[in-house]
Amino acid sequence: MPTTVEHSRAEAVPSDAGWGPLSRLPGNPMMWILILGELAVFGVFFVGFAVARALDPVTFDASQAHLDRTIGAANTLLLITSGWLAALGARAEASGRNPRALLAGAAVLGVLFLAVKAREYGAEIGAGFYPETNTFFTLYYLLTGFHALHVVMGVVLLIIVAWLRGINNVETGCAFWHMVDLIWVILYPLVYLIR
Amino acid sequence: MGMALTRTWLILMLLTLTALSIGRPAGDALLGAAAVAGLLFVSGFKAVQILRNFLGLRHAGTGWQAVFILYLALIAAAILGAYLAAETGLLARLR
Repeated sequence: MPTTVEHSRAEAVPSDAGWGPLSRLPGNPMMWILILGELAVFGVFFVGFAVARALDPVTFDASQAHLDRTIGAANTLLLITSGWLAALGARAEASGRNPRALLAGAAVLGVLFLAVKAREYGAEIGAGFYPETNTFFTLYYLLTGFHALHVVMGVVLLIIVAWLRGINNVETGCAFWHMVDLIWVILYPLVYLIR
Repeated sequence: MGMALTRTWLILMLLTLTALSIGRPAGDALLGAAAVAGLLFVSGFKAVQILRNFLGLRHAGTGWQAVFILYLALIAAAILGAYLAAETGLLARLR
């Protein structure tokens, strides 16, 4: 039977019950507020990019031709595989197994994604394409750079939840990671393929 | 249960290669509205697979699934609309 002190401590910890519809989502509802906000921001970016291309398709299509579409697809495969490992990790945690190897694998693939992206940036800058080159490259560096920052945050989160296990923590870290994956799945065709 | 996740992963890998193929990585010619619509449909379907199976929204109720599908549909419609506006020269005439 809990003591009075333990009881009052338990009462002090906020429960998910007051989060309304958000409590139906996996992981911490606070993370979902962040995820919904990030999706809204990226949504505006995506529509902004599409409209900017519509205003100047010649510059956008000529600039896009300098991107490596196959490397972009390879990075998509890396993130999808990483998302799969994270989902398996969350499933392992839910069934009482140790998810650390799976979450570490997901984080390593995230780091590999960043390494490929850095190499891609290096090649583009080496060829003389900078953020100030034109509107396409400004938006390209802005969108992919902002996404890469989220990959960095996601990798850190995966490491933290692999260390501080628990179903709520693991589901929360993985939810953020799948959001990063989801955004890239839309970003890749928009920036690299559509012309 | 892990088998369902692995099946989703394989579908996503296959659809990524399909998207790359529609996007004709070696060429620089315009894709055309039909190919862009196909590309957006494949990418939207991938996003739904991630939401439902990896993120587990299948268990979060139909309301949340509808919210996310609507979000994806609106973005795809805006991208396709902007593409069509460029292809038909509509925006250039308006400027």
